Order: sequence, then C-alpha cells, then structure tokens
Amino acid sequence: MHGAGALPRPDRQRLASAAALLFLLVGVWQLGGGLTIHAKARLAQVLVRGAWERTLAGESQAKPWPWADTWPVARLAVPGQDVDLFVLAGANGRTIAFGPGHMFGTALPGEEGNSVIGGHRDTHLRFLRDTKTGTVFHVQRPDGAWRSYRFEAAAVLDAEDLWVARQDGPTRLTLVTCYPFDALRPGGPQRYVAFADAM
Amino acid sequence: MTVGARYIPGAPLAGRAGTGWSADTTRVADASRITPPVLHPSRGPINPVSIRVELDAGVPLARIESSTHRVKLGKDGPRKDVVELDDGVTPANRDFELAWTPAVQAAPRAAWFAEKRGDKTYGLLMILPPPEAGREGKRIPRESIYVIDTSGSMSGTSIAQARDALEFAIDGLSPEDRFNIIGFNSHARPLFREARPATRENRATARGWVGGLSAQGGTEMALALDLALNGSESGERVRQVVFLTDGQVGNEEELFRLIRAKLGDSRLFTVGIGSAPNSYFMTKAAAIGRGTFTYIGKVEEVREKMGALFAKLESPVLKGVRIEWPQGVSVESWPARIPDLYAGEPVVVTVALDRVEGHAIVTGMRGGLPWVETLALGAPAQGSGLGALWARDKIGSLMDAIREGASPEETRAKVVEVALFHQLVTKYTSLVAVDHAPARPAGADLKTAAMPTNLPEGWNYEAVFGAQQADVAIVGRLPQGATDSELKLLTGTILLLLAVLLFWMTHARRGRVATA
Repeated sequence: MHGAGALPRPDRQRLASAAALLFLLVGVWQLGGGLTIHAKARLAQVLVRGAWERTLAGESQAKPWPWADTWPVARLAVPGQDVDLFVLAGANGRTIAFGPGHMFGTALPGEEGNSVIGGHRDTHLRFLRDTKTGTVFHVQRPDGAWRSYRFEAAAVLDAEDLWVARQDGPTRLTLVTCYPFDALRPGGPQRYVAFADAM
Repeated sequence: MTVGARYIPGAPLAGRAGTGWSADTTRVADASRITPPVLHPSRGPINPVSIRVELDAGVPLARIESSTHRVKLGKDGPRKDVVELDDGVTPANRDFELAWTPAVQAAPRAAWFAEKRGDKTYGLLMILPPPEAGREGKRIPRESIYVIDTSGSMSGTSIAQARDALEFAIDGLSPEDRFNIIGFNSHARPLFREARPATRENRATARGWVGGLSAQGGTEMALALDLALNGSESGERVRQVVFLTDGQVGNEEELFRLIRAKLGDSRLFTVGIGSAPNSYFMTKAAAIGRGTFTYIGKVEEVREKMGALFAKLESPVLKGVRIEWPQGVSVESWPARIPDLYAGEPVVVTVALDRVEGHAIVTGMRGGLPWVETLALGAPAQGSGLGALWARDKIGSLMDAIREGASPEETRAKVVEVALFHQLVTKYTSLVAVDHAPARPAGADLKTAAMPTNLPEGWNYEAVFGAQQADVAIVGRLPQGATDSELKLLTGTILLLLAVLLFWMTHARRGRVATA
C-alpha cells in the first residue's frame, strides 16, 4: 500500500511544504511588486493634484513631494472615459511612473505647437486602448485656461520614429504609449501613438 | 572641434530643410541645418578625434605649443616638426589650438612654398617683418568700447574668462583714453550713456559693474553692435571696439552687413571666449571690421592673450601692405586686400601662378617710413595641400562677394568648379561615402538621422537649453510606455495558485494516511 516513490512519505511531504512556502513567498513578492506599481501610479496622481492646485494659484514648478524632480505642467481630462490625469514635466522612465510625462523640447500642452506626452500603457494611458477617434480631450494649462483636442487618428510606430515630435505641424497633442497593450513584457520597440488636433 | 548651440533669432517658418533642433526662422533661413542636436554631458563624450600635424614653418622656430591640449613634439627629417596629442585621442568637445613662434632674428624672415597641380603652381608666401627697434612717435589717445556677451551660452567658465579679460582691459586704460562697456544678451545695456574718460572713479564704477555680470538669455548681437559702432569718423582718436563673445549666433550674414554699414573709422577686434567659439563668425567679423581675432581657450590665458592684444592695439606695425608680382606672370592671390599688421604677425598670401620665376616685391608703411622686401620666387620649398588652401581663400572671397551683391547663381557655378577641382567641402559641394558592401536591403527606405555633437567643454547644458530640455528626449527614442506590473501580477498569481495547490495536495494526503 506504500507508493513506489524514491523518498519516504514524510520527506516527500516536507519537500512539498517547502516548495509551497517558497512559491507563496515569491508569489507574494511578485504580486506585491505589481500592485506597488499601480499603487504608486495612483497615489502619485493624488499628490500631483495638490501640486496642480498650487500651480493654478500661481506657484511655478510646484513639486508634488519635497524630493520630486518633476512638477505638473498640465491636466488632461477625457470626461466620457472617466480620465482625469496630471501631466508631469519630462517623459523619462522615473517620471512616468507617477503620471503621463511631457516630452521636453516639445510644445507645452495647451500651447501652440505639437505637445508630446508619454505614459504607461498599463497604468495612466491604458484608456487609449478603448478610445475611439472623434473623442475630445481637454487640457488645462497652468494659467487655468482649457483647450480642446479631437482624437483624429492613431498609429503603431517604432520607438525611433521621432518625426511625431516635430514642431512644424499643427497644434496637437501626441500621446505615446507602448504597444501591444496586453503584451506581458515591457520594453518592446513598438509605440502606439494617438494624434489629437486642437479644435 | 564641436559646434556650440547657436542663438537663433527670428520667428519660426513652416517647413524645414534640415534635422536640427531649431526650425528655420525669418532671420536665419538655414537654422534647421546649422543646429545639430547636442548630447547631454551625462551620456558621456562621443566623436573621438586624433590629430597629427606635420609642421614645416619655413623659418626656424623658437617654440611650438598648444594651449588647449597636451601635445607630444617630434621631428620628421630636418625641416618638419611633428605634433600629436599626448593622449592619442580626445573627444571633440573643444577647439584645438596650435601656436608656433619664429625664433627672434633681426633680418626679415620669409618663407615661400609651392606645389604644382595641373597647369598651375599654387604657392604660400609668408613674410614676417623684423621687430621694431623702438617705439617711435607719441601715443594717440584711444576710445575703447568693450562689448561683452552675457548670453546663456557664455555661462560657466566663459563668463568668468570674459569678466577677467574686461577687468584686465579696464586696468590698462590711461586717463586720456575714453571708454565704455556694453553688455548684451536679449537686450543691450551700456555702462555709461556715452564713452567717458578713464578716470579712477569711472574705472572703479566699471569694475563693479563687470563683477555683477552673469550669463543668461538670448544673444541679440545686432543690438550691441548697433550701439558700439556708431559709424562716426574722428581724426584725433583711434576708436577700437573690443568684442568679447563666443559668437554663438546663427544670423552671421545679418551681422556682417551691419558691421559693414556702421563701421566708420572704428576697428573691430573680436575676442573668442570659451572652448568652442564660432571662429567663422569671429574671424570674418574682425576682417570686415579691419581688426583682428584673438582666441582665448582657457581662463589662465586671459591675461597673456589680452595683454598681447592691447599691446598690439597701441599701433599697427605695418600698414598699406602691397605685393608686386613679376611682370608677365598671370597671378591670382588672396587676400585681395592685405590687412594692417600688428606686432608679431606675418604677411600671409596664397597665390596661383602659371610660371614660377622672378621676384615678388612686398611694400608697406612701417612707423611712417616706407618698407620694402624682395623675395626670389625661383626656388620654392615643396609644400603640399597649397592648392586646397588657395582654393579655400578663393571660395571664401567668392562667398563674400554675394554679400556685396554678386549673383548667387553665378557664384555657385564658380565655387562648384573650384571646389570640385580641389576636392573641397563647401556650401554647394560635399563629400559622399559610397559603401561597396551595402548592408541595407535594396527595398528598405532610407532614414535620415542627425548625429549629435558634444556639449563644448565648460558649458552648462541647462543654461543653454533650459532645465526643461535637461534630458532631451528628442535625440534618442520616443518615451517608453510600459511597466512590468502585468508580468509581476501574472507570475505572482500563478505562484500563489501553485502554493495553494501544493498545500492542498499534501494536506489531502496526510488526511488519507491518517484514515488508512
């Protein structure tokens, strides 16, 4: 009635328990890491909202937390999709963990020229996956004025296609995020680029 | 060896021809082609350069030195000195300057090199007048106008050099001189409304004012030149405008026209500051302004170089220099008008001849007396690259002629002809590399990408481009837009499920064993 296994039963049980414990720990660690990214993305936006209110009140480069190296430059709202985001200065990896980032060197959102904003496809800019052309984006500038943009077209491009950041075209909002939306691994070369022209 | 970020005035135009960081503007029509992207220094230096100079000066030398780089000196045969970088290679982030000084001799020193190419002989003639035996005549009072660039590109070591140079200049003034200082960035501000005598109080005021200058803002050079050059003519004073700048502007043509129109009898001396000044602008501006260009690469050199400049400003050594070539020889020589010479400067002429024979006679006025020097052309030293040197001078003067109203189409044809014969890069010709083993699939599209340049040494990136551009994403790639959150969530969930499964299995077995 004993099984044909090489190990006696109590040893096998102990090994299985150890493996289960290991899986539990690594699993919690991974899950925690994944949840932290989302928690950070959401919490940061709460803090940035405060900094944006101070910006509207006249403060310049209002930092959302004392050691921040970025500050809000615009607010982006898409009412139909329950989107209300604060755009930060700079589109490097560190900044866009906290919010969509405005690419330096391109026009500031809400002003004349092409404003390029980058963000994560799995956090802040996830809504782009479900956004239909014709949707209207609203952008608030630091002086409080709002400007509307109509989502005209989207394209899947390569990360090297810097022409989307050129300043010689119409006044527009160019939103850049990674593609495909549901890819598991980050860091691919493809980008989903949404073009919304000023109305 | 690098192109500093230039100030581009004017309103942007639609469309662009180049890949630069600036759009073409109403005042700089080629802005997008003269503004290559600049790499942030945090990404490390690129574009390594190695240099080897084989120097045949034609006269015995007292010393050879570079103030900008450490160099190794060697010999190649009895005549040639060889200069190489001590470090082998250096990043292209500042200019390379090599200075050689002829040994002091009482006799005039002359050098004559020639090279035969096609049916012409190209030559380089250099005559160095002997040092003056003693200063004769009394000093003429001067009116000195110092113009200092306080734009963002001067930030860092450049503004410190310029302040030092100005303080040195102020200390060197005597009470019978008059002076003024004009600072400019996006605006031009004079120290005094008009030039004032260099009294002790005025000099103290000036020193205080200079100490408070800091570098920020644009480079509206036209405003400063407009204030400094008033087009006046005055017999009793020598009017000298000393212009301290890195010359980082894109609207050179506009400024050349302004200098030409408003120079009067002033002399414009440009002083290049920093590790990579716009030498083209500074040299040409000084030539149009009938002065000279001085390059200061390092703070430690300010006193020496400015001292030499001010000594030279006292009076030209040789004026009205002319060269008479032998009769019957067809000659084309540059520069067309030889500038006044200051102490220690040689007459340098490039020439194309159809025959090499006879004598060249160089004449001029030295300290109020006529000066003549004769040189036999029959036995030149062999040189190389002289044709290209001559052709560059010729192309330079053809391009200048456009500014004076020559037809651009005709000039273009002339420039292309000379450039192709001598294999030179010009506004209209360029070198093309042909790859014998193409790596690009025949059907793939060509891509144009701008190669970034280094930030000139000692510059402050943020002061030029603003903190906003600190990590210029425009050079590089579009922002990345994904995290590994989903991957982590998925692996985490799978592992947890596995753990639960294992616990459940061992528990279930233990249960079965107990009941058996």
